[in-house]
Amino acid sequence: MASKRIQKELQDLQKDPPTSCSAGPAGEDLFHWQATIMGPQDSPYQGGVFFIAIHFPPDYPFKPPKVNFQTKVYHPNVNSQGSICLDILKEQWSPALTISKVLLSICSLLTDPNPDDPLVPEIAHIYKTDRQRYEETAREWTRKYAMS
Amino acid sequence: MKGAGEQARQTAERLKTKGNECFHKNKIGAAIDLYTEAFTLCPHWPVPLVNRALCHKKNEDWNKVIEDCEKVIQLDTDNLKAHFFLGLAQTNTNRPHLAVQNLSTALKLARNTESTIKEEVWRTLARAKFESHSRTAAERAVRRGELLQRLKSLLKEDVSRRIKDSDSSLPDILEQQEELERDTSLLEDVFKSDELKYQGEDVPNWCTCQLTLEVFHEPVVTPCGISYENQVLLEHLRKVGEFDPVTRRPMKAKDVRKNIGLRNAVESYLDDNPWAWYYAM
Repeated sequence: MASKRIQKELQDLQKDPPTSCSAGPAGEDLFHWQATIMGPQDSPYQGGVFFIAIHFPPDYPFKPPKVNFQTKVYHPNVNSQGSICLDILKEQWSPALTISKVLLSICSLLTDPNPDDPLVPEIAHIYKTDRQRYEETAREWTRKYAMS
Repeated sequence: MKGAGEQARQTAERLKTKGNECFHKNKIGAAIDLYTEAFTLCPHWPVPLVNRALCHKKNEDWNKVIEDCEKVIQLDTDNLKAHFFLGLAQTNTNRPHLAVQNLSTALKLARNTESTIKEEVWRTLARAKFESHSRTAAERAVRRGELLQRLKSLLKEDVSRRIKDSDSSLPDILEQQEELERDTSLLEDVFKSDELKYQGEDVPNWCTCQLTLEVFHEPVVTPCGISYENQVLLEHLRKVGEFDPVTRRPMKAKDVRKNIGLRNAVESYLDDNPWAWYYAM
């Protein structure tokens, strides 16, 4: 089931690509993809292009894909390893979700961080107490790491 | 005292069992010989023939598969495997129109008996239907093209003749030519719409399962009213959790009901848009 379903998702992505993201196999291996997300407008990530690595487990879609940022991001729910704290990638996963939906959720996470369930408590603290400083740092990181 | 017939049957049973052993050890030639012997002893017992057909299938010897399956069907009209292997062999030997009949029968039998080969039968049927459609479409495209050219030149000739016959004035001639252009473009539109009927790209969402992303073949409905492919939904309930994949409301395998209405709607959509069988293969 896994490779058939991944193939199908790839076809659907090519037929009807979502705005502001793209995704596809990184090489020969169908179970290893690379995706890009454009930093959402009205967020400090605007103008940045963020690379994301996707690994499908052998029993996909009954297990969630492993999704990691490859580009450094200053965000309360993304750590320095690129791990993302997102419920649908963990206990809230459902096989009715697709990579396309996951990428859209990551886009909304960039616009609306979730500081109450942080992966990097320091950033969450700054986000809650000094929004301007958070935005400045996030913008600076975006300029430095997500714009070529 | 046992009758001669009964004794022959017992020997045939033994030969068949030996044949099965050989088959599982991948000694296909030996298995074929044993099944042949069993069939010769008991020519009214279809089982050795079905098994021999399976051997030929493994060897991809399609003409022999066809031969054996046709014999089986004469003995036992409702033999699922014989209809399936026959349809498969006909698909693989470029006879999709014939294959469709046998595979449709096989699918009906498989559904009635909840057979494990149901899905394989469905996919083979989809392939046969698609290939059969492709052939019809290709033939029709050629005929359509030729017909369009003929009609266009007939229209042209007709207008030229009318212009010649009546020594018309210039405005008249111009009007005739305009009419010709209008008619020609209408004709092309009509032909184009026929062409489009034979092709398409997107199967509507209601025809596909949100878990497999494929065209439904055994849809079931949950208490939330959402339909999924049966096997995959059950696997989800077993592996991921006892909840509806879309709504996340708690549910159990026993809450699942067949959705025959949706199944029929999908099949009738596919038959009306046979290019879409491609997505069910």
